[in-house]
Amino acid sequence: MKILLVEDEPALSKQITQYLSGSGYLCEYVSAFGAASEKISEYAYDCIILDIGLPDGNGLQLVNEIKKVQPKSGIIIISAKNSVEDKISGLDLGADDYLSKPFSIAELNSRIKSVLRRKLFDGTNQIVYNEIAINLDEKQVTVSGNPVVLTKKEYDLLLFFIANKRRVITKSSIAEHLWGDNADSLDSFDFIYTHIKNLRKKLLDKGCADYIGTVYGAGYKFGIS
Amino acid sequence: MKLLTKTSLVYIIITLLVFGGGTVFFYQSLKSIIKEEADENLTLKKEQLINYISTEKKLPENSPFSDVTTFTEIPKAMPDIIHDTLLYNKTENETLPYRELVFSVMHEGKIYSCAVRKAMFESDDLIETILNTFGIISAILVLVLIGTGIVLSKMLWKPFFVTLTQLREYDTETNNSLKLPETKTTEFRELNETIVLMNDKIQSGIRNLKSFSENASHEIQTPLAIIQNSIENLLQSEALTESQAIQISELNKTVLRLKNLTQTLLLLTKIENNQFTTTDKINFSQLIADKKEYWEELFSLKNIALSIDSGTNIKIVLEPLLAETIVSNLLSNALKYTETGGEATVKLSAECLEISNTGNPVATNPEKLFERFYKGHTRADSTGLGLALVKQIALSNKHRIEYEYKNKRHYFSYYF
Repeated sequence: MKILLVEDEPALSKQITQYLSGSGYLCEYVSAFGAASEKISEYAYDCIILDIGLPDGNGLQLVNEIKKVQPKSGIIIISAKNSVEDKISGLDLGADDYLSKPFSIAELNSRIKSVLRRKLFDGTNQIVYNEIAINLDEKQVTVSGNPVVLTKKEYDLLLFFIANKRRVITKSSIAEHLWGDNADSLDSFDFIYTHIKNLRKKLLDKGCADYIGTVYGAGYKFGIS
Repeated sequence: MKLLTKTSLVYIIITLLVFGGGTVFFYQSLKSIIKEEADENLTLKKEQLINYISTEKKLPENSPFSDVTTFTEIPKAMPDIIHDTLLYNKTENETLPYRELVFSVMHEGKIYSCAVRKAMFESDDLIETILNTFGIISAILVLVLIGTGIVLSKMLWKPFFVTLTQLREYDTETNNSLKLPETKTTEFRELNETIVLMNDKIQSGIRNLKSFSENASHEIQTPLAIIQNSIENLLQSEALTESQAIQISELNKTVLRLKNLTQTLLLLTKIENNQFTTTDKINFSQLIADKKEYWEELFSLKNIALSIDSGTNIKIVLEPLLAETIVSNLLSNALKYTETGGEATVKLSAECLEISNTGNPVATNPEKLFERFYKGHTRADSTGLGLALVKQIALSNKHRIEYEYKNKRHYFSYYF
């Protein structure tokens, strides 16, 4: 999967590129409006991550360009301004998602996966990880063909884990993913523990291997077996 | 008192005083002049009589037409007396005022007192007529002056009142341009120019503040984002010891605190500067109903029974983000300060959103609860801004928030 990152802050660009490359994407980045325009007109990307606070032009104009030149690619807008007007304008113009800084890269990763799934898979929308199969249209999970009943939060949690497999995910990323802006710090963390405990138990009950591992002091990791 | 009334009153009082005083003075002068003239006349008559007596060597005869000269014998001489008197006049057939000079004169060894008189009634009538005419003219003059004064004042002050009305209706936030009247009066022109200048400064200040809020957001959030991402990347490393991992997680929590703090402070600033001026209504009942599941789950994890009554279709004029913030902050508060196994209630009506919960009383002064950075109990996860934010929203929207502790329950009531 090819991803283009348009971000003027170099440290941030490096971090995001590093993470995404580590997750198996081909990630390029540019730091200015002009360079972004060029890239868009020359190459096709599966997903474009756009910071609209660019110094030499408003990133929202790039959304229009992308829509004209390569309408099939996903667009995720990132912004430090957290402005409701920008969010609405961006989504109106055709962006697929909006994320405000600061965000955890795990969250960005998960959003990219969501956007890609929507854009590229018209047929059966399915995610498979070893014995776990998730039917995204029906929102049903099976382990080796046996259905598992999950609550909404547990389902979201599982998707998040699989999207960020083999990466250490902090509790705060999980909280941010599950509860968005309402994620208060300490309170939610106890709840995360409870949700993970329940999810793990339900999977194990159906004969699934134990993929959810605790990294002491840091968070969780999905995929160690 | 209105300016116009004040000026009119001053006009009236001064005019009345001047004309009143003038009339009195005029009357006195007239009377005095006429009296002097009469006295001179009488003195002249006296001289004539004395002359006649000494030349003719006899007393003049009393003529029935003369209103003068009566002679009476008296024992001895007396000084001249001039005075006013009333006498019966045959011609007019009534008692009328006269001025009389009584003097004594010697004739053939005898002393006679003699009186000469002058009729004053004609002069009195004259004075009366003159005064009346004068009075009427004065009255007319006063009325005309006052009337002119009022009309003139209204005309001259019109630009001022137009400016006043414009200022009253002007809203700095929406900045419809100020339409101040053109005027030739120097002072009003200067007033208008100064107002326009002042308004420009205000508008510029508002713009600066708005852009500051947005810039601050951008500038602070980006470094925070970098820190957060670095931390996440660090945690991916296999070579971390457990204690290192714990420390780094602590770092992460701290970054989140900063993030929350900055966002809340910026929101507070925006609200304080009236950057939310929507006139749309939001369906509050719907808002609460949407969040019901989310909050029920959070409360259930502490075994707190939560009951929510969101009313039906209660609509309030309020920016959606602010409405969400109120609900979120008040419920979050309730969640933090209710003991495990306790109970909490949310009740929405058209006048009030009431959130109450069981719990221990607040450590100190309840009024301080709504102050910024005040925390009832020191908690790392609390910014201390939650309630301050709710209070600020209330202030900016002419709502009211109140707190009460009774029957071992905390009550937060937000009145619309």
